Amino acid sequence: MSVDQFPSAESDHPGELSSVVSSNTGDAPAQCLLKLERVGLTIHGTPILNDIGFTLESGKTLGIIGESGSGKSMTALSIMQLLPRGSKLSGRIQFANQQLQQLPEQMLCDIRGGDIGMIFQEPMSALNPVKTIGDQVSESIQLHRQVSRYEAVTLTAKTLERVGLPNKAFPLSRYPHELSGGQRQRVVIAIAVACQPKLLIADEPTTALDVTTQAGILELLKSLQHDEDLALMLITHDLAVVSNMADDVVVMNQGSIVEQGDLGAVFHRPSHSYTRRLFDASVLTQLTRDTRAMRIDSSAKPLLQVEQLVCEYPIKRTSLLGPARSFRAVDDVSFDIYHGESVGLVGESGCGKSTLTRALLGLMKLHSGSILLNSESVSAKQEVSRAARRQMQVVFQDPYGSFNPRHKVGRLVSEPLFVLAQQPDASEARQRVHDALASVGMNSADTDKFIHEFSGGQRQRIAIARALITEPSLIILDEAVSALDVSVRAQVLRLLDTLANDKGLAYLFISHDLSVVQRVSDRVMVMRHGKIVERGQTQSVFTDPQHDYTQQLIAAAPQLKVQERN
Amino acid sequence: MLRYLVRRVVSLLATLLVASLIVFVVIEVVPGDPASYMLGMNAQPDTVAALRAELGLDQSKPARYISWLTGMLQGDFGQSYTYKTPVADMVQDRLWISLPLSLYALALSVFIAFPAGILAASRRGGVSDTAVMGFTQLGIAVPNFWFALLLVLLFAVKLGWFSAGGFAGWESGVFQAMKSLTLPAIALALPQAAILTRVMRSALLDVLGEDFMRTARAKGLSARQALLRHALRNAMIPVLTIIGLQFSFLIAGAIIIENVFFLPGLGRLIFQSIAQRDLIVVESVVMLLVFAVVMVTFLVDLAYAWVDPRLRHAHR
Repeated sequence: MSVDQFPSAESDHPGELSSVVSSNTGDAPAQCLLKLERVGLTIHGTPILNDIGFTLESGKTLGIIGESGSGKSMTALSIMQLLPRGSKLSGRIQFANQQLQQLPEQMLCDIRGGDIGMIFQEPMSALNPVKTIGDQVSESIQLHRQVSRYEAVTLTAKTLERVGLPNKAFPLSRYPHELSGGQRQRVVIAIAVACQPKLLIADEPTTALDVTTQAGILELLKSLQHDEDLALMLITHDLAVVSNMADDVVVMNQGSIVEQGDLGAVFHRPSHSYTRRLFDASVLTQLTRDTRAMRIDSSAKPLLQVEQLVCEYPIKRTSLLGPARSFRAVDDVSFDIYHGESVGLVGESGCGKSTLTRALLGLMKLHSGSILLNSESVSAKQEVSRAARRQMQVVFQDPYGSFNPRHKVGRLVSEPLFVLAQQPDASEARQRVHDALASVGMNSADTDKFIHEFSGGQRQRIAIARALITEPSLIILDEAVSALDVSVRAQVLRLLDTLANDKGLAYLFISHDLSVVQRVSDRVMVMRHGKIVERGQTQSVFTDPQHDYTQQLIAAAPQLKVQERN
Repeated sequence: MLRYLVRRVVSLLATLLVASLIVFVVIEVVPGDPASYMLGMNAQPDTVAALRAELGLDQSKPARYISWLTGMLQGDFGQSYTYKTPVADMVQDRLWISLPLSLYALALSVFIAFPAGILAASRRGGVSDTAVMGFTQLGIAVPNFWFALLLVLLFAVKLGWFSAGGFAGWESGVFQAMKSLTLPAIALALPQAAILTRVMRSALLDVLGEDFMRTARAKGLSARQALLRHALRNAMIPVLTIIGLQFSFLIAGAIIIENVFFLPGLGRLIFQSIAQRDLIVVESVVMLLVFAVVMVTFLVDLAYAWVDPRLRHAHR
């Protein structure tokens, strides 16, 4: 990518400049702040947006809903005039009575950060790691306001206070890496609102955050909007978030708006079939749960027994001669999983979920405790036997990063076969790959393709096929559907259900997403600070949570509020 | 930050100690006894033995290592076997050529590479980028001694602006001295600049793709401001690494260029000393070069911490 990756869109009518730049004096009070008319976008000739049109008034929140690739973010970048190279924009984008496409780059720089603030999805990477948070916020102030350095610092301190980062705890000299994801997102918000913009564009502002953090950030956006009469454009794939925040809604699919209108109208009576599909996929009903719960024979021997498991990471000594210290990531965790059972493990980032996964898979040393798989011990200071590995497979979160891009699908899927005691010959191996792919709804012709030829959902299916090929009894699903769009997620969850029923698989379903865990698991465990703080039947944990933390989690999770169509 | 510094200093001292041991052992296993080499083929065994005693070669190896090490710590590098002069003096004279030459070349390399790399990165795919990349290709492909010969042909023989070789000496004035170092410095710098330009460009391009660059544009910075204020410092880590390696290379590896320009630098000294089995000189010069390289690495480490605050706390 290059610097001029964000060129200003070429102006077709430079002569009209003087007429479009006029302040909105009180002659049209109902004048909308932002108005898009027939906006189209192509990038290197590929159509990205078609005929986008909507309006947004001050003090209102517009939710833009859509799955990945629907053009939500490109709509935002069109408004910011920060499109990638090779972009061609058509139509009119009118902001505060100025037509943005016709403004020279210099004026656009004044508008960006001055009148329009923007918040991005990835708080971990959205801040410059080598500059202090104070510098990054005050840079925005100094760009847009004629203030002295000293005043800029004062304003910066005030802005950070405003977004919930009190200067006492978060001095301006902090660097981004010293803050958590939620705190960093607050700094990004501070940058965006430092100059009191009229419009705030938030592109998936909470997608990368834990539920409790998400609740805080959404609360902050609400209060900022309320206090400053901001227009807020909230882009998200999460219908529940929109239902809690927005006044109006725009539903996008494949670069077009399929439905728009008042939140209540769209959510109560979605008229477009895509919107309905999106709702159906978002509402995770408990499908086969009851029948499966009966099948589980808890008098039989458990498939997996974890007993008093402790995992520790060494921490650097504070001084050269100081005692060796360690961080206890998993602290005295015990649980059983029975054949055919689906157990959910919920927790926020840093709670020890991933360490637990690694320990179960034999990828890290146990400090103490034991893991028994089919009564075979997998414990501290011991290699996991191949037989045990065959019994237990894993599907990871990232459908893009968890495959070697240089191997074909056939090889990727057949790879776990090496753990089998009896190596299948080439034709049998091929047959197994085909069977595994067929069982996840993929084609045997896919074996000769490379992984980049598949979508995220297809890749996750391939990952499941890879897990199935050794005919395991337990599959660990580590945030396996978290990176997927709602409709794809629903498909993959249905597939997992089918597989569990057909093959009697047990799942350990690890996720931060409560609704997904509620949907798939028979029993659920809640993990915090390395300990399991609550466990029980899914239904009882979700309807009657006992532990404070579980209550907080459930309260913080946004609920899809309006769903009363017939 | 203090902890980072202490850590670096400890690792620096440890590196030096290990390096001195390796240098000593390697020189010990090199075939050829300095005493018999100095006395020629037909020397009497007892004469050789006497010379060995005089040179201290008859002592045990650990004892010689210790005395070499303690000597160096006190600034006593011993006597050259061949020239019978203190090694410290010989090295000092040479250092006053090699060090300025290296710094000169490094400065040229940086002054060429920074603007060229920034230009290429900011106009990615454009004419300037293609041109810069073409030149760097050339700079990497063409050996520096050939550059040196071309420079001599053009600027010394044809135009007569510079002398074709030799060193004017610092006593003839800084200007004259620097002038006689200019052609060698350019010859040394061009290939280094070509590499550094490419590193600068690719490091910048990596950073330009980062999310925080989008944040920078969204707060109202122009493309140019965003590059200079946010991208440059983030791109410095790989660039500093290469600068450190290049300086080490320049100070120790200028031997060919020193030969082309008849400069009595460290490279030439070490080359001659190996040929003459003047082991004490070889040992000392190699150790000095090791010291220089380790010092440069240390400075680069400090620069990392200055550039990237995350490294200051990395070892908490």
